Amino acid sequence: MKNFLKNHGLWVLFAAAVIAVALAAMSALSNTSSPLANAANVVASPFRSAYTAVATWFNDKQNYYRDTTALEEENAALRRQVAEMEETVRQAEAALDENGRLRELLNLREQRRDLSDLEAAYITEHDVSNWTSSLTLDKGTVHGVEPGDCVIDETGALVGIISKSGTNWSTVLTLVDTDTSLGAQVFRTKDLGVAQGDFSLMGEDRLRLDYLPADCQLLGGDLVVTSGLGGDYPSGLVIGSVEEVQVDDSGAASYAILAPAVDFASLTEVFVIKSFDIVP
Amino acid sequence: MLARNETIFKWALYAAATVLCLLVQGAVCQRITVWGVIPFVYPLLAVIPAAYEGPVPGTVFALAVGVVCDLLLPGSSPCFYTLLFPLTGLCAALMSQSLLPAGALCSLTGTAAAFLLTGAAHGLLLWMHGKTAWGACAFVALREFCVTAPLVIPVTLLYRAVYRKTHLDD
Repeated sequence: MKNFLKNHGLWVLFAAAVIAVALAAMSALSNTSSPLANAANVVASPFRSAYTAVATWFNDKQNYYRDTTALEEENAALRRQVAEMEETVRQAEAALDENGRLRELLNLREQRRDLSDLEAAYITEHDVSNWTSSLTLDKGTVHGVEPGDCVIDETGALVGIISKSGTNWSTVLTLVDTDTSLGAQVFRTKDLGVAQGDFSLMGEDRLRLDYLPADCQLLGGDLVVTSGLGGDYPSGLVIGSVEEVQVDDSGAASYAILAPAVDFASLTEVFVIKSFDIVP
Repeated sequence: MLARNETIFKWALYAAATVLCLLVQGAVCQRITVWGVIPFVYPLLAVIPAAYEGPVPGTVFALAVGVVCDLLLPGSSPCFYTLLFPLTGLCAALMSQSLLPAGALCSLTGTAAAFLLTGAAHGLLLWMHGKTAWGACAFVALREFCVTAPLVIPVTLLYRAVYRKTHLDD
């Protein structure tokens, strides 16, 4: 090597100078990279890609872990938020229901100024026997509820009559119970009759309208309200509508089968009319 | 012959078993409607203890159950079950003494008689009020019996356990 450089050093230096000048000239004249730089980068490129891929993989894993942890925390927070919102929605729905009932009651109070004293009550028990149709309320004598008081829903439709009352409870016999009997009037024709429960119809939540005048012309769907005659019950409370008209066993008189305006099974809250003014 | 303490203990156990059945009636049975009727265990509470205990104590116990029933249930007649349940209890007790030994079959027969009697009495009351509905009454009584009949077995087992616990010497 020492001899080689001694003998040919000048030539090597000259060749290097020529190559350097040529490369410089090519770099100056060309707008792409020089062949040597290009060759070096071509060789380095796969290694560069490899370590970039490894670094990216590590970064991804790190990001995934960080994102997962953050998402889990966010998910837990969102679940809590959803639970709180669901609770709020439930409360809002209950408040909305109550608001609707109270609005209807307010309208009823404005329309029916004769119903001067109403007591709101919740139903604590539905039918307790197969031989009666009754409801048990959470209000009693301490709230001014007495036997004989009418019970209505928020629309003013008659539910039944209080039959027993204790300190903080009372029992309502519904319209369809066999012991219920009250003066009724057909709203369209003004015909008077007696609406009373019938055991054969009680299972179907229906009642009869008896003692109709011989010339009465009832139609299906005719509205029947309380007549208020005798002053025991307020007048104009909706009992139900005529479903069909039939002739009794003797063939001499007709009676109507009424469908109550109230769905007893779905009732949850009712209003007891503790006192009322008799409207002439 | 049981000593006074044993007698008190026995009827306290019968009362506790009856209260348990009343709780089941109020909490479960009244909320279930099958074939248009709710299961009605009250007649069972008058019939089954009477079948085990004999005519006199059974009838008195059935009278007490009838009073409780009238106090808890709404109805047109204030002493409807007070009058009927002693009769059904007496029938069950006499039947267990002469026809069928006290047990599930005797309880079932007594219960059928109790529902028949109750249905007939309801029909009679409606007839007296001018609202005759014999067919509807019979149909309700039949459905009531069919729906309540499966409960005869657990109630009989309960009262038999009380009977065995309080009659160890028999």
